[in-house]
Amino acid sequence: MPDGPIIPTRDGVRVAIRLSPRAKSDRLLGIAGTAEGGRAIKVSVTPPARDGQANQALLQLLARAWRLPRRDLSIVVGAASRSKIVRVVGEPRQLIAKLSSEIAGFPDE
Amino acid sequence: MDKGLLSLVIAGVAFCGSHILLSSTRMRGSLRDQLGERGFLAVYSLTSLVIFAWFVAAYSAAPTIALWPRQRWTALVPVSVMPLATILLVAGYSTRNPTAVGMERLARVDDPAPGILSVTRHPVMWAIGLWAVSHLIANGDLSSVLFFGSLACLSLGGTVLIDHKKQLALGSNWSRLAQVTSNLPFAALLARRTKLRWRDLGILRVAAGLLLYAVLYLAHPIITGLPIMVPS
Repeated sequence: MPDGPIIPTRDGVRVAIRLSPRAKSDRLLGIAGTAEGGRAIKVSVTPPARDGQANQALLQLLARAWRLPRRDLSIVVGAASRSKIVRVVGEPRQLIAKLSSEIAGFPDE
Repeated sequence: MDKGLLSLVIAGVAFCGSHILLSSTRMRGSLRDQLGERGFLAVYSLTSLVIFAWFVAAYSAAPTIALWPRQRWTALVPVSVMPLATILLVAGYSTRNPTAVGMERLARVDDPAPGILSVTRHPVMWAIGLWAVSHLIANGDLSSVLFFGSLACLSLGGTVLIDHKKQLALGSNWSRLAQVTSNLPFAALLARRTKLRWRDLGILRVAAGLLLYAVLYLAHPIITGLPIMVPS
């Protein structure tokens, strides 16, 4: 049973995110453990968690970081929470390979 | 090359290619002879519409490859430029223009460039050009540069091609028109070659342009699927 942060699904992957809104910069920070014992990608964005601004900034940031079409990303769990699940549509195996290599160099807590 | 990016390039080449082929080559003449003016314009419009839909679809499926960071000022470019673009669009479409297809006879009337045409003789083309360039700056990624860049080149480059064609078609009436208008918005006004007559322009056109801006601003997430994001 994979514990994340990237889990394959039938039509893509689900990525566990731990988001810090109102931060100094828009950045992917590293990997962190979650309360449930899984792992999540820590991300900071500058907008506040209001009117979906932080969520939109998160999706924009991930699309740019992973070079994906923005429309392929959506938040499926935790729109109002710091812990979120982002769904990425695409070929699961290719996405796993691509995203795993993108986060390979991250500091792991 | 990335597959999504390649599809976007192919769609872009098809869009620009079909436009140039149908507007500025010998194909225009021979097709018009076969189909008549109206038939030709119908074919041109339908072709453009279908290929544009393809271009938009390819753009939304293309990867986001950042070329410059999104900043407050880049995001504010379309917010501040689009009111001018929507006014040019509305006023351009509601003003009879001697540079439009089949409107050459208007160059002979007493005032060949009423209202918005004193700002630029190509208001609709500039509306599209300003929309495209401002959105290119705000997005700052490769597929946006390809998408909006093609549309900007086509619309703003198109003004030069249209001028060239109209110069040949209008003869002496062209110099009369060129004297009181400019391609570059506000250039003829700043050079005092013409005056902006507000009554001709119509407060209603300006109001309708600004209303269109407000609608596009508010409905942006619904129309494009993307919100307008201005970093603080």
